[in-house]
Amino acid sequence: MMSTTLLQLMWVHRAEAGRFRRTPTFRDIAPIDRADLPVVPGMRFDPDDLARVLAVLQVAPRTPTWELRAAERSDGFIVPLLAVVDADMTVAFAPVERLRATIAAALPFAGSDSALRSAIDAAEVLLALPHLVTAAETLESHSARISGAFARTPRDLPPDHLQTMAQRALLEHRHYERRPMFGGPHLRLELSSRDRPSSGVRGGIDASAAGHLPIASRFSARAIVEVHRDLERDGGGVVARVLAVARAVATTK
Amino acid sequence: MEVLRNQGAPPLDRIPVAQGRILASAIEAGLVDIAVRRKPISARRALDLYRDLIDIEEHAERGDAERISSLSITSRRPLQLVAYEPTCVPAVRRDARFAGVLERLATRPVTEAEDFEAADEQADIEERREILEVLLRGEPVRSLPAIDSTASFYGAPLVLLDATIELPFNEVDAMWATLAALTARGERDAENEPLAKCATELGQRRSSCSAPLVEGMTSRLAARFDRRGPVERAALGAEIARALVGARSRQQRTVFGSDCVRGLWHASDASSEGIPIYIPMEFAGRLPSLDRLDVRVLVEVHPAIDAYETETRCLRAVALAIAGAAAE
Repeated sequence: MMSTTLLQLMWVHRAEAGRFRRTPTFRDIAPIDRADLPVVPGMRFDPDDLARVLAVLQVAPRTPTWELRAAERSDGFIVPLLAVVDADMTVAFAPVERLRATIAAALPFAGSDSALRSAIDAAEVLLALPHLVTAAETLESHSARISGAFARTPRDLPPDHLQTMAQRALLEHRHYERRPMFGGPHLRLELSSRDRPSSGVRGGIDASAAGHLPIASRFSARAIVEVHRDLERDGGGVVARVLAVARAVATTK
Repeated sequence: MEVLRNQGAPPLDRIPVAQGRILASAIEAGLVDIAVRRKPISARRALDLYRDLIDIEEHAERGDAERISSLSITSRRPLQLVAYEPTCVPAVRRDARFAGVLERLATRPVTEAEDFEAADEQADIEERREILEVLLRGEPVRSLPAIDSTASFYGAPLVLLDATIELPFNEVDAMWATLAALTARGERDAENEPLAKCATELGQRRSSCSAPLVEGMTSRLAARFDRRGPVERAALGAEIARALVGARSRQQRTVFGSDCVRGLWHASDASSEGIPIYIPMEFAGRLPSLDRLDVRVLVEVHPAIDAYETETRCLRAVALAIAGAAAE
């Protein structure tokens, strides 16, 4: 049996879908036959737009994540460019929700473990602040402290039990990290290549995509992205705005 | 040829002449072998039977023995349409498997009842008739189709199922119900109190808890009943289940862009855990207060959307009807 990969379109930025017909990058790509249009669950589309998006995903050349660039015009303006990437997509979770989920996972063990109880209590004091404005690192250090206290006591459970439970809760409830990016609320994510895991690109996807993504920490995807210069970091890096995403589904034939 | 047994059909002399002729022809052609039980039937049942006979005749004309053998003129149960997603209608109309059903429907005038129901639902009457007809007269499958690996894109095939769907209880609600039962039975003594307090804390943080975490706590609470006898444990279990059924407690997941109830379909070729079937919330609000439902449901078949499920596939309901008890 041979293993093959199919693409399942999960989400498209509806307001941007018509753009793929006009942009020079994709204008010459013929849309797929409307009779072959697959179902995109939970989304309603202009069939012409959908046919174009699928054709772009299918035939447009893929750009490796480490070669994604925004363009600098001759007049000095930086303009975002569209590209198609094959990458592993990892959507980030909100650190405050990770801390809450870690506490919840630790509670059943806290009754007889004073060190664990103390780590939980310290985190609860922080979370009880009426306006919690703090760095992600602070919240993550509390999560790490609770996990460390849990791991120090021998139990019939793997040492990373709390992280596993917390990760699952975050996924089940889709507690993704939301940030204002590209003019609206977006989920923070990273696109990385299996060939070069260190060459990941930061990015965002419109917050309305949250319920369309697979319930998985990381999944193989093909995406249409708009590549912007990363203005938050020096060094000419880029940040990718995901406009359409299909997951890769492994199958056999 | 597989024998079709009609356990609840009327004696042949009670079937109207025209329908009896159709049946007789089918039997004569060797396509149907019906064991008729002598029992009167209601008008509604007769209408169902008549429709089946029409099917048999059409398929007999085509020599479609396989289709006839799959027809069951005894298993027809009245269906009540719960809901459908209008977005599925174009795909249903394009699907060759439902073409015959929809062709026959096109020649049948709209009945007063259909008109009334559609007006009540403010749905498109044609769409509604077509979906109901496909649910009622389409051919259900017994196993899910294999993924078409020759295509570039996964097409999420539509499949009609005649299924019993299990609707597991919401994990946090189940914990609360177990805690309530423990409290009501006076089990909150000094030994159990720390556990009860911990369960309360978890229940108050439901959006931070994973399903297995809460299920683990529920098991620990339930274990406190172990010192009671098996009869009382069973009674408590039934009481908890009744409370959860009454509260319409169901597992929820946000998948495919909408909030859905998670059910399980136990296919004959699947593992014992069942294949997840996601039922949109607008359907779920109209489901009866039961934890198992007999349904005719049109589903899209997808690769698993939840990495924590053991099944490699999942289903998304796009049209659903409840199967009631047979009239006879």
